[in-house]
Amino acid sequence: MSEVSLSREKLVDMYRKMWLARHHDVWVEDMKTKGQILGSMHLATGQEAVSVGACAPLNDDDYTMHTHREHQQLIAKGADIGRMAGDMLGKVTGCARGKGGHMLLFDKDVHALGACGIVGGGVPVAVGYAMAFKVLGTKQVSLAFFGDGAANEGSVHEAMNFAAVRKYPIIFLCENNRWGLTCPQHEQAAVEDLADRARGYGIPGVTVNGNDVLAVYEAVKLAVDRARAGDGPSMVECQTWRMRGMGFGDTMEYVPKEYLEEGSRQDPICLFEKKLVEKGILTVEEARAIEAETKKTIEDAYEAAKNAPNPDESVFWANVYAAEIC
Amino acid sequence: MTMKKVTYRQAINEALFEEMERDPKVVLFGEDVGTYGGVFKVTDGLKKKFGNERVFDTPIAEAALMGAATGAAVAGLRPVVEIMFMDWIGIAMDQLVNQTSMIPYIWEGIKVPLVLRTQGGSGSKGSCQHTKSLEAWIYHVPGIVVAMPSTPYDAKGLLKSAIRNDNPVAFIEHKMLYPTEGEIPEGEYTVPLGRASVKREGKDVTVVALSKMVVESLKAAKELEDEGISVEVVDPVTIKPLDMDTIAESVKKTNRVVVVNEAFRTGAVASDLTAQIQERCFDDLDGPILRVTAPDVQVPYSPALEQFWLPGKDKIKQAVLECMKR
Ligand SMILES: Cc1ncc(C[n+]2csc(CCOP(=O)(O)OP(=O)(O)O)c2C)c(N)n1
Repeated sequence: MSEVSLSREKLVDMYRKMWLARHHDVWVEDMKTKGQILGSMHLATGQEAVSVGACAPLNDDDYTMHTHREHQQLIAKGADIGRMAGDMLGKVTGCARGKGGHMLLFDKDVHALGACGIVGGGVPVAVGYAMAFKVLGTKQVSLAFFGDGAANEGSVHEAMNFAAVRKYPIIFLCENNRWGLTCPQHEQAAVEDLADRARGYGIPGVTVNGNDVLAVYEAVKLAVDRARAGDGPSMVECQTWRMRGMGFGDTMEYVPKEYLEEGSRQDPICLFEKKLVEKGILTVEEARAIEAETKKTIEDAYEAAKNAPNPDESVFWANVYAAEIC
Repeated sequence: MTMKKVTYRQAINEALFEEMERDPKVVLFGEDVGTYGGVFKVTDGLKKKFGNERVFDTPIAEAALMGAATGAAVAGLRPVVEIMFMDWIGIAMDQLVNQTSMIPYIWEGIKVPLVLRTQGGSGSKGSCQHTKSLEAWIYHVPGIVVAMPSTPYDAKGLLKSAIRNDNPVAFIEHKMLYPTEGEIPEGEYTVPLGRASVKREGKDVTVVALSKMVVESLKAAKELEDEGISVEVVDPVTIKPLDMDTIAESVKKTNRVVVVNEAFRTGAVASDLTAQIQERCFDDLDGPILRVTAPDVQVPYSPALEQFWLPGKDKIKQAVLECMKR
């Protein structure tokens, strides 16, 4: 695992967020099993290090663009879990007042804007955020999450080239779990490391172990510093393991056993915890306390959301146009 | 003729099997259609039977899919290309509008025999990006045949005709119809393109309905029968070119029309059908043609809000009753 000299406070915060993210996806998977959440559901259980490592170098006022497998990315960005739960259950307490559901989460307070069910669809929008920051001279940066599958969309290629030419402050964060739905990466791309493509756009690209939260942090931190300094975009590819199916209910018979075994061995929370304990940053007792306390946070948020009111008809008609027309 | 009961999904699968067996020029590709057999399992077993050159999974790249299908059709294949959800037809749209449909008109002597298979429709709690019915976009463009079958019988027979046809055909399925059952002949049959089908005879009101709305209209008709109103349900099956003769014949008998289309109201196919019917049948009409559509509102996730969006049996009944009063 990588060595990074971060404050104890920061490291513990990252560890905490990883547990929050893990508990979240385990909890909603359970609710989904019980039929308490309707619609589709993409889980990122086991991919926590990517989200947390990528968001840790960002400030609240940096913007993030998310994917369809986004719960953990939002948690990592600091989204309000209570309101997220509201959206997940279609309740009026959500940021979208229940209108968006699992695949369209956002939280404008932390500029997590937002998730996208159109694979690759959000990446050009994230370039627009970066354009605004450059034009307005704000020193904010934009970070766009996208998958290895999404990396093959024209929108993503166009966005990367556009941002590169304009030197916009953006980080293209490829969360490579080696699967796009049921298709392995090698059937979708002829390169092994997707970050190799960065060269073709004239921007730096690096591939890191996405289950090593410190490696992700380090690579993204460099990219963020570059972007803030006015040196333009970078691509960071984080290789990780998709431990759940393409969506809830996927029996994954097409996924090789060895892949899942390797993913289990590389559990990002275990790896990070081991390191923190070894370094004397955290005791095992403290780790267990964090594990328990974060679980309660998630449970409480979902209990509250279950009991929250549904949106009424006025919500349905609201914001078709968000501004006065005439 | 001996008949058998199949689902809409199986009916489409059978059509693909039979046509691929009959004609080695037919190829089938799209995201997850190969090894997995499609996310709705519509293409199950085809790759196994016909091999990886004729049935294959592609990168997630809808523009390239549509363009490549077009080129392959020009160069001698008969491609069936799948765009998994109609919501992201936009990515493929430039190819469809500026290549596929343009080529036969300008490149005199060149044909583009392809089938674009996609599916739309709501009811799955899929939120904004997995539920839209955007057939009007394709319908708007000259040179594309647009089919929207509502029964297993029509789906199988029509898809076979579509594959054999030398024009580009958009074959639009409905996700909520896949598990619905119906009777089809044991042996070979086709259903011609451009021919409407009277799904129920009646004498008071003609309901012209598309896709799943045919099923909803039949439910409405059944209930209205108990109230003493006799509803004729006409399914255009192919919406372009439209079989206006069958519709006009029905209107001559009933003198009243309701058009039902599960799509955003403004610019929906329903609007155009209404215009076409009044142009042709004005003298036969006893009142205005009414439309049942979804409102001009994005499709919200919250199960509590769905009722406000979805057109269905009850809204159709209301419209028929209203139509009788005018
Ligand atoms: C434009 C578009 N094409 C196809 C899909 C269907 N789809 C949903 S998730 C997915 C795979 C995405 O793979 P990847 O980007 O690697 O993300 P992962 O699911 O592995 O997190 C596909 C093809 C979609 N939602 N949007």
